[in-house]
Amino acid sequence: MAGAVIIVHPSDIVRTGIEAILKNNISVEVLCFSTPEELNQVERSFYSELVLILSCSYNNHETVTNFRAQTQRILIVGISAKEKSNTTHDFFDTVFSLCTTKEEIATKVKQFLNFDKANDADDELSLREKEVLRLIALGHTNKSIADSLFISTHTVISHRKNITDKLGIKSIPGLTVYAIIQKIISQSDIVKDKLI
Amino acid sequence: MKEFRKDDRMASLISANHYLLPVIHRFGIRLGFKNKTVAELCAKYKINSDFFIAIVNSFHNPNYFPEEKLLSFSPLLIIDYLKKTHRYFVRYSLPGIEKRLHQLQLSSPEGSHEMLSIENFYLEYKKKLLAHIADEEERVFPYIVGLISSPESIENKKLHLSFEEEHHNVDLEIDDLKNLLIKYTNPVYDELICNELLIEIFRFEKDIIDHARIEDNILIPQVNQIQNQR
Ligand SMILES: [Fe+2]
Ligand SMILES: [Fe+2]
Repeated sequence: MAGAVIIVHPSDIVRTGIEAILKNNISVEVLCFSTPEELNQVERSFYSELVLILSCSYNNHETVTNFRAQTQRILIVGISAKEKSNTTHDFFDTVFSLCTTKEEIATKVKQFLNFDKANDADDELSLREKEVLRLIALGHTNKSIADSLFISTHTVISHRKNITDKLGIKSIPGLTVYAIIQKIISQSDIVKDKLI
Repeated sequence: MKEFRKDDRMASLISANHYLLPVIHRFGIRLGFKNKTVAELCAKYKINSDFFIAIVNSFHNPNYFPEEKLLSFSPLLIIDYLKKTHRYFVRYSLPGIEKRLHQLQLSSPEGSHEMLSIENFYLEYKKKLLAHIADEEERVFPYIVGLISSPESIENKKLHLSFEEEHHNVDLEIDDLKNLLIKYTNPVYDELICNELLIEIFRFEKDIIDHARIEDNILIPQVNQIQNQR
């Protein structure tokens, strides 16, 4: 059983664009079609997880509805031709608009297909990440972590994201406890009542 | 997944999903169902059976959320249910987790900081959750009740309501607690206690996610609608 992304859109530009974004970021199978009817060609039982990205105009299309019902895990994403779309549509789990960045698209797909987890089964942190984690646990802000490690705030944020992805621990108190357990910081490093 | 109906026997709901026990209890329906149906028992306990069945079904199946149906009930009915759920958390779920966590801490070797820091983490989490619940009970719910029962008393005082961020943080931390226990502790403690603790955390997590979903997707939209009509 495998995961894949299917793009259904009449526009060549849109299809090719999204496909390129995905291929550059994730090694995932991508199928492209210009009409929803072509979805019937897909061997559904082969995929346990699908991300279906399609033009917002296909909402409630029968073929798509069947797809949702018959796939174990599916994320249906609408593509809106508007610059910004804050329409939350019942039919779509989420909507990408013209303003959605390539990072957002890649992250969304990765998260749903659990790529981060699959690739980082190893939850060993790098030395740099441990250093960042130590400072997070001691209560430092992104800015002050950046200053003390001579890196940009942007880099700090990306380290934080990697730490969270590797460990599966997302809150600052949670990360602090992790740091104590792994002896990255000692309990006495933290003022007692500020502990967590 | 099966959708329960009002003419199902109450006992069959429990056989299908025993996690429903506290939900049914929350409505005040007591065990000893005999072969009575949902509709019969709701009538006996003077409970809105449409509301009961909608809540039970959405709890049973996380993918089933009859938003339109739920939005059609009075916010007062919903608040009443939410308050009962709060009471269950405060009196039962949280103390239960706390007690097990403490037992677990006592079962680990002296001088081991791990469980102590996890216990502290939980106590801080609990504090935040209790503050959140208190805010809902003392500020938000009374405001909504006022909005409905005596709208004239609330002069243009639009309360901006959104719990989503607080709920999100609460969800993150309970998930972290699970991961810390499952993935990162040294099993030098009594693992049977830890298993029971985890089962209890999973159950609580499911309950609180369902609870927050009703607040975010039903109660808040209802209130916004009432406010906009004014
Ligand atoms: Fe609540
Ligand atoms: Fe809440």
